[in-house]
Amino acid sequence: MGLGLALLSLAIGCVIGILAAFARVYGGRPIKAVATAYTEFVRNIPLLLIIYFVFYGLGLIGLHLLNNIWSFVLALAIYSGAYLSEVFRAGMMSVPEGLIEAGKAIGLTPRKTMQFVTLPMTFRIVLPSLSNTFISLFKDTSLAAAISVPELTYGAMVINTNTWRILEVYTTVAIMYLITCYVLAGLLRLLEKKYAMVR
Amino acid sequence: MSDEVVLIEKLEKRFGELQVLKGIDLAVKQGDVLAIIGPSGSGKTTLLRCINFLQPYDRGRVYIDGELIGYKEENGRLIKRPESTVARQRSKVGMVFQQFNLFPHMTALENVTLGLVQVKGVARAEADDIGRNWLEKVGLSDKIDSYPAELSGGQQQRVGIARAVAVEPKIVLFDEVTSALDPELVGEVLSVMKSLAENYHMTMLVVTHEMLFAKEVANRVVFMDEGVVLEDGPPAATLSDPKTDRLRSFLRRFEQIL
Amino acid sequence: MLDLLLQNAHLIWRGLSVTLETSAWVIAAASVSGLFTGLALLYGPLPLRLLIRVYVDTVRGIPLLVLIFSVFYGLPAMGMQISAFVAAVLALSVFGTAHVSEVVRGAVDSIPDGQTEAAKAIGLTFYKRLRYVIFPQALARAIPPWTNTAVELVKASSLLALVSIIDLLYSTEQIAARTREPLLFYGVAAILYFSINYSLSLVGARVEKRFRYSS
Repeated sequence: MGLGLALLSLAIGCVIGILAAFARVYGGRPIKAVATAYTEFVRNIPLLLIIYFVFYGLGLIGLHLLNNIWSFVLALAIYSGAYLSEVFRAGMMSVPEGLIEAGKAIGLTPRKTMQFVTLPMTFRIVLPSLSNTFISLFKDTSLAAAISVPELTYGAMVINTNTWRILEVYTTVAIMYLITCYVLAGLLRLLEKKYAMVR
Repeated sequence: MSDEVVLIEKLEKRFGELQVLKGIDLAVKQGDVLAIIGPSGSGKTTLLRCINFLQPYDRGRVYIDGELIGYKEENGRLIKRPESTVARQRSKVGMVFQQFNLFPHMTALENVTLGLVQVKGVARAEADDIGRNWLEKVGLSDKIDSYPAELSGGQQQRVGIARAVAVEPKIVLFDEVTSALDPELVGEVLSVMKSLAENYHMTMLVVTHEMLFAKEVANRVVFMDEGVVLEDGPPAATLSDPKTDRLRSFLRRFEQIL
Repeated sequence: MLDLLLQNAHLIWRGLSVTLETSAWVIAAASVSGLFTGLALLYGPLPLRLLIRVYVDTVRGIPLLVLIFSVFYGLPAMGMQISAFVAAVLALSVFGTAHVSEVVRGAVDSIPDGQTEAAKAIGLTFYKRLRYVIFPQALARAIPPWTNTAVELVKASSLLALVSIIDLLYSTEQIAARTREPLLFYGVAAILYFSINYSLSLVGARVEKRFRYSS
């Protein structure tokens, strides 16, 4: 369950992140300022705060459609979007000039250079950082417990109040997170081996 | 025995599966300038690094000024010496690196005086004088307070040389010190090395590809290939009339220069 | 709206000072122990290094919330009675130490081997090498990631609200619920957190510039 949440938030976060990265690298001054403000602001405030903001705040201005789960997904997406935009931005800026020039030299339009050179290269460059961020986000899904979203930590809290066997419960939970993280990291490393660039 | 600054006996070194040094015997006298030449992979750099124990050697003996380096001998077995002893032994050997390896957070003068103050215990003021002196001798009196990032490759390497010689080592090791330099900067470094040999009579072990230097400044040329010393003699004889085929074919690529 | 803010300002301030105090203690504790742990990781005997490696990887592999709950509810369950504040600082410090030790290890590892070799070549002993050659260079390299870790720790302190420690977030929750103005008060809290962390980053950047010596 936690994994599904992470995946969904990450997906939305990626979209936000790529858009923001674009804005910061290629945008005009106003849009660049907005994107930078978003990134800098969100990265400096706690995730829990964003969760509460979304959950309580948006509910108030009429978005009652958002139940616990969707509030959390949105909050985590906003949070991860800011971090991911940094990752993508760094990736975009480190695509070697020479490759872009080569693209132009064979006559590719700016759009096509973006499509066939810049974006694929960015993806390969950022893969390691992306994996790390994803694993972090997976751990952050535990915060969903704060607003009672059914996932691992929340489950632990519930079991706790029923059985009071605190240490065992949390140790088990910790081990489960650890194992999942290791497995995730392993899988991501395989993906990296296939695609990532050795710079 | 005691007039040998460096004595190397049956030196062996392996890295994993690969035997890099297969039994080196070499004696270096005071004032000798040895040019060590050979193809890459022949073990030249490893040899230098074993002499100042940057690499521990597996078998054989390295003596500097009569003292066994890196190990204590007990019943024919080699026992590793503690770090602090090795550090003291290293202060008798100077090394100049291909990649310069200057300390980037220190000025040229500070790079040169660090060894004087912290290893030899020289007082700061005196160390500064000695340092300034050496920097002047390598032609960098106007760069005393510059940081390595502000210096060209040739200038950095000259600071590296000053750093190595300021502590008055018994012998200075040069590990392909001009290989990382742009061609036009090579000359300034080689002329400093020539001056060290001719004016200060320093004992020098120079691993190099600069054949002209070997011919004009060195008093001995040592040819290494695949972990052994194949030839060892005065430059004139060794370079123009090689005894082995391997040296002959190695020298062919330098025909233009020699 | 403004008078609502002013009415609750003292409560916000109380929460803020708890957050600041906790963060300060945690950052200090984590920096000191992280430094020693990092050094042990780099230069210690093999069994110690393995132990620390396991510790660091475990702490970084589990969610902070799980760690906090374990300390908070687990320790009393094992019979230890400690105050909420101490438990909070302990949990966050364990987390912070793991991160700082990685920062230390990373900074020293990133120094080229040639520096150690040149230092050895002039005859410097192990301690002198560390003191005159390695640490000065590691310091500059460590400051940016250390600043990031400090910021993370300030943000992490907000999780203490979940164990009822009256920090900035907890206070904000209470006020927001009571006055039914979540947007206003969470907004204010966001600005406060942002100010703390952004200033921290700026100071870090300024300090890093001072220690930087090369391109």
